[in-house]
Amino acid sequence: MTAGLKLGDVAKSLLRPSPYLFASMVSTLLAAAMWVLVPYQVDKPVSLFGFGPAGLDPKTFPYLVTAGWFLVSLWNVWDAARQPEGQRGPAFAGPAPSVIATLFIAFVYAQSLEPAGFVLSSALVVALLSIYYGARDAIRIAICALGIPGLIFVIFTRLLHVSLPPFPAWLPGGG
Amino acid sequence: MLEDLWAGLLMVLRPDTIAMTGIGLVLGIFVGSLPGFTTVMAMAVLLPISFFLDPLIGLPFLIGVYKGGIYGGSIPAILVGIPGTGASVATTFDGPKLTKMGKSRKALEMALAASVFGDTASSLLTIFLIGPIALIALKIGPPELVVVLLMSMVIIAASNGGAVAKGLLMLLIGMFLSLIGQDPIGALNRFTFDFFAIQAGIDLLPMLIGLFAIPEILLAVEQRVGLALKALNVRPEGERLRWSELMNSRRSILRSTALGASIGAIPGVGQVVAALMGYAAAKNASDTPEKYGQGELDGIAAPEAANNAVNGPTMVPLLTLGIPGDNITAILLGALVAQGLRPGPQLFTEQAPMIYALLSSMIIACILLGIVGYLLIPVFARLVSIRRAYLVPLTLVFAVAGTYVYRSNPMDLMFLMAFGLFGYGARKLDFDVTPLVMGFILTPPMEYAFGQTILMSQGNVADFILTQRPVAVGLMIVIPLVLAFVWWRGRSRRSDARPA
Repeated sequence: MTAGLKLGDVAKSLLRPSPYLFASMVSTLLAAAMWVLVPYQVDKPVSLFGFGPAGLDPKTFPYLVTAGWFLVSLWNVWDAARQPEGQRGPAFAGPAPSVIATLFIAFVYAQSLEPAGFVLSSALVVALLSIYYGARDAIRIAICALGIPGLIFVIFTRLLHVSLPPFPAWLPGGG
Repeated sequence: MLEDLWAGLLMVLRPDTIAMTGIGLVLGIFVGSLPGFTTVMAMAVLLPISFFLDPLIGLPFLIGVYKGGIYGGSIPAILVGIPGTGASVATTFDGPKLTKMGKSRKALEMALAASVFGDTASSLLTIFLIGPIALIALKIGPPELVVVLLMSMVIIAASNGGAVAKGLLMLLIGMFLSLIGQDPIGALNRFTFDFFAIQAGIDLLPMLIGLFAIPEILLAVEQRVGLALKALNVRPEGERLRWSELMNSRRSILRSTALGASIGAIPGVGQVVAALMGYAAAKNASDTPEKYGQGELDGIAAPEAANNAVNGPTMVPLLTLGIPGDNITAILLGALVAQGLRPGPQLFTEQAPMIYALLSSMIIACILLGIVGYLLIPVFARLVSIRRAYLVPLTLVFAVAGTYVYRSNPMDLMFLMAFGLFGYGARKLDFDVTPLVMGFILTPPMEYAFGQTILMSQGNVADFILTQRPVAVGLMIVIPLVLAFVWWRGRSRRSDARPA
């Protein structure tokens, strides 16, 4: 055991978890839950004439992997709990507002790709995010917002012959 | 072997392959030149393009991106002291000093020459060694394959730069994710929770783009103010590199090439370690080590030759055993599988000319890198100052478009975002996601091989392996030793770093 490590310190860590400790505890709980769920979440092999299939049981790997996941998560909990106060990193302050804004716009973009069409939704996202990140040159923003998604659309649909939703679904020929 | 090599070479000596390799190189150098954008991200985002091209065009295109990206990282490392990619960290020791001395052109050309030499030499070595290695790999049966796959996963998880516990946790999460869907032997549903979208399992592409591209975007936007800033205008200055200066660095380049090539064959070590080792070896061997870090051209040549020499040999475990040694080769594995090529020893017996064609395209990419790099150094140098406020949204658009076109399935976009969020959280907590990807890719073949082992042993696995498979036993003994060694090394490093 590490010199100077006291069980009291570990207990204190568990009461005020660092982000690493919190993530490790969540991982431990998830692993335990998945281990318990193995019999319910793995289909039974078909028996023919009363004989089951020979070879590897489909539950073997799920049991092995979830048990390993649980034990390694506990190892991480232990590692995180015994980190000295100064090495735990800053308390979890949440992501920066710009990260939340980008994530929100990215989720909306992913949802709107089919109904709004690739070029329109991409143009809006590029223009919105560029302005949000501090770009102010209208011509450059327009080139990036319309030109590049348009170019990507042409490359995928005309050169690579794969489909991207072309226009808003409510337009004739769109969707 | 020579006939296959010749047939392979002829297969790639066609204008469209060469042109797409060149385009891949330019795109790779472009992304590598941008501080904060990585080669892995470029490859993840451009991966879907390769799916819709002929394998002999799409795969050389990705190889071009790979090689271009690794070289491109040296440009901002030399000009502004910011490594474009992790592989160029050691180049920042002398690069910015040379720029201050008005020798940035010399430094950039030395980086290019060393990169091209290191990469070409290691690729040639790979071409001549991969055939015999594949012959050995052909003798490996299912029991040995299980142990080799397990050992590779453990090495990657244990040596990924973070703590062993963190690497193993990521590995096991990746292994669990691979269980979702249908089992590889009986096609029985596992962990689907009656959710239709995951009945066929989680697809590799949204995972790769989500884990490698989206976190880069989110990390880049953390400092919103920085995105709008335009860096100082930088351009190569001073005289060109002289032949005599290149010759003065020949020992360092050769030494670093040998080091990088050796490191490339070991899964999970990679370019960063190779570059740092190459730099340290050159400094130790020099009569004037005090000049290193003060603007020494040899300090550019050594790490650049070493990090590029890694590129060729990383293909050895990938093509002979289907084991990707790092996240870049994991992406290449995704491209190979999507093209219907399952890497492994069988691929050599069934499609040897195709494998040699891919390896020959690496040599073509190296030659093109020399030409493209030399002609376009001034253009790429200007890229360092591009505002990221425009590039970050475009990267997001490319990631989303690339994910969608693969199967035209909106659910893939949700997986992309979910993996992106997970990858961002992992990066913030100092978890490397590479072991997760390795666990995800390597678990199904391991389970399949384990199933075959059980059938071969007629139910008595332990007896069968102990009495008839000495190689598997030997490799099994190595796994805990590797883990113990890495754990002990990490522990002793931590105690060395702790103040007395």
